[in-house]
Amino acid sequence: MEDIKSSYTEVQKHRIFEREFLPHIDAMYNFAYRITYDEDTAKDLLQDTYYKAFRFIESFHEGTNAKAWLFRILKNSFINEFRKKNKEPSMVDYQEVETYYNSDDVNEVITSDLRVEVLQDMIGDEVSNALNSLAVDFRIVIILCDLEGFTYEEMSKILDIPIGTVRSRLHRARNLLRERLRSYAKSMGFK
Amino acid sequence: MEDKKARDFLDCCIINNCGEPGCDNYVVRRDLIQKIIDGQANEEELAMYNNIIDSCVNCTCRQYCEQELAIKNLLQTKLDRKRVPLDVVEKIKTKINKTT
Repeated sequence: MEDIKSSYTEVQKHRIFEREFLPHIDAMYNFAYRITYDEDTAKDLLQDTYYKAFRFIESFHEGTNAKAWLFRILKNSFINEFRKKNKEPSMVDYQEVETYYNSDDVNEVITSDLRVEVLQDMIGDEVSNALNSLAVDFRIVIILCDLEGFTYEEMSKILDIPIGTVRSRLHRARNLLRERLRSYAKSMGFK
Repeated sequence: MEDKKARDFLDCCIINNCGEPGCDNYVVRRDLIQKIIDGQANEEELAMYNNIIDSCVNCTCRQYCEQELAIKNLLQTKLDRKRVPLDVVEKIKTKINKTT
């Protein structure tokens, strides 16, 4: 993420790759799978990300946040190559999202009748379906924050958007997820 | 005191529409609650949150927070975490070794 380049020997490059990049490979694979829904595409995206990470390893500063750096590469590869190739249909219009938060609709009424006990009874498939039903840009913020535990600042760097936008998008994504979960709860007969 | 409670409750525009378009309070509270949920609030913000909750018995922020924490917990505990197939890891390592 930095412009200042380091100079590593071949041995150092491999050490960084093994010690700083590879430990995040499962998290990266899960991220790739959750944004593509497809195992083969996720594997391709993962490999592509790791090749790029090694190719541009001079831009990485040893000891800094390797996980965030790798996630940023993966997200960019997904947007610039994979999403175009696969013509991902559920892309959110960023402008539309940001306009929403600058509009009077920001004071929407949020219903809060989803009981915590109902949530606890849900099974993994229902949760997974609810998450997958969100547009990819909303899904990404939830994955980065709730599953991978990135801070708003890290998410801001990974996604190339201001922190305020991270927060507002996260809020919107969570509201949508809650609505999806409520629908599942209703379909299961919970009130 | 009753007036204050009523006012706080009505001011709680995370859940309720406060009736003021573009209300700054909404964004402040939304961001505060979000930080609490995500464990990113500092001490001052935690105190501010507790003050809001304590001063507002009927405050729906508490219920909202509990719900959001439950959803966060649901995501963390019920979604499968896949492991990368070993052949993919080997493929990556082989290609990296070839490039040097």
